[in-house]
Amino acid sequence: MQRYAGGDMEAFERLYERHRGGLYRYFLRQSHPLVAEELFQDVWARVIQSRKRYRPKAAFKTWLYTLAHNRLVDHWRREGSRSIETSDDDCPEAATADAHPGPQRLVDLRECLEQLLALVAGLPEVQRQTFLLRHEAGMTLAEIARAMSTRAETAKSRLRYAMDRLRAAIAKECLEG
Amino acid sequence: MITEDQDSRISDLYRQSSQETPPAHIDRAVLELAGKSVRRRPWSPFGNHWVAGGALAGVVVLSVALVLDVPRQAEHSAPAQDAPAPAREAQPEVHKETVQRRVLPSERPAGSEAKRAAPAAPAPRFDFYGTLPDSEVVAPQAEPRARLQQAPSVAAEETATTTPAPAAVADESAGVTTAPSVAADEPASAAPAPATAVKESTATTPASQGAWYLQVGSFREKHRADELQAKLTELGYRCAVHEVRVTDTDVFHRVRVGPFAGKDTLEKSKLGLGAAGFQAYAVRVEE
Repeated sequence: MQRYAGGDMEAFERLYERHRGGLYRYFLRQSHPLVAEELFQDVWARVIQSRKRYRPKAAFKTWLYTLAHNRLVDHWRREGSRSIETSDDDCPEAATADAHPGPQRLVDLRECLEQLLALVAGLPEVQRQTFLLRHEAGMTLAEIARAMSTRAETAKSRLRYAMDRLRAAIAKECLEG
Repeated sequence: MITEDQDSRISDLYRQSSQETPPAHIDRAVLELAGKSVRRRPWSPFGNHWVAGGALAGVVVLSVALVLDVPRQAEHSAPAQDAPAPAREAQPEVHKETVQRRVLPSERPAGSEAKRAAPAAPAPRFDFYGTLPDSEVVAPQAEPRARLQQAPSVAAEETATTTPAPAAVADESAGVTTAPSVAADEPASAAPAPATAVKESTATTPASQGAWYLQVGSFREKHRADELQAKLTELGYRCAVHEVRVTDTDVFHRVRVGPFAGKDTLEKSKLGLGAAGFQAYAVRVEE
């Protein structure tokens, strides 16, 4: 990023290439595809705008996803429809399997994948974001906490909730192998 | 299976399924904006050549639109936008080959792009899950759920028209040398299982727990499942289409060959199907 700040376009390309997929999917799992595209572009536009002001206080990735998180929250506020900062520290108990589609057995791997994506989309927002920062951005709990402006303990319990819920809801065949 | 293993499994599954990348026009827009910011036109063939701002009306309009649309956030308090206006910056050292070598990510080979976009993903064999959910052949090359012995079975040449042994699930103790009993209406050429002592894995189940099948495809559209079934039947495989309601809105139609008496016959059929161009993988279905 610093190299891009110095005008190195190739450096930007490398940064972009490295993060474009994860960042895009981060938004894609949380909003309509067209909205995801818009938010995605906005974040990169901000990165570009801030080129000369960039100071390597934190890893680029953390900064990028902090921008992303804030942009998403901002988007939801504008939409006015969601309660964003849901009950922070009291994550619900390990979820029951009420979201399970029923007695059908899923043994096709692709169905497992599709079901999992649907389950991720159905997670409560902060838990979903935590899950995505872990799995799309590859962040540690400390990084997640920083990106979401919360404590590491909170991030940990949110991730635990997300994993518990996914595990409970997905067809158990998908967990085998 | 303990929780940590299951968590890993969830994470692995997620990474396999999560392969989408931004569309090409988005990539282009971002790169153009980035390029404008460093005062360099992305596709200029002129190397160091300076391009006056706004040489490309389209590019300018696009970048202006992007810039003006950006919300104001607090992270880096922004003074007036300077991207579209050609504010002079001290020119940093220039990479002469930058322009000629730059290739848009969208123009790069798709394979490498997919790999780059998902650096944490497992082996590329799962890349195609990012494409349409209704692609013809479903199976991954790996068999996440197969409990088959690792020892490869006998060479496949003879199995092109093998019909799997139908009906009852074999007893473990009987091994797999049961002479196949062909159902009355079935097109036959059954290949007897070889006499190798097959050490059954625990997953060959007694009848009460289910049977092994080879799943060849799974589709939302029934007619595609029917087509596949017809093709397989023509080749001599006994197969059926099972309908499965996955969610309120999702019904999958699975095409399965089987059931199989034992691992050997399953494995041979799998090879036969592979030779015929069908990727199948083993599934256990509990009845």
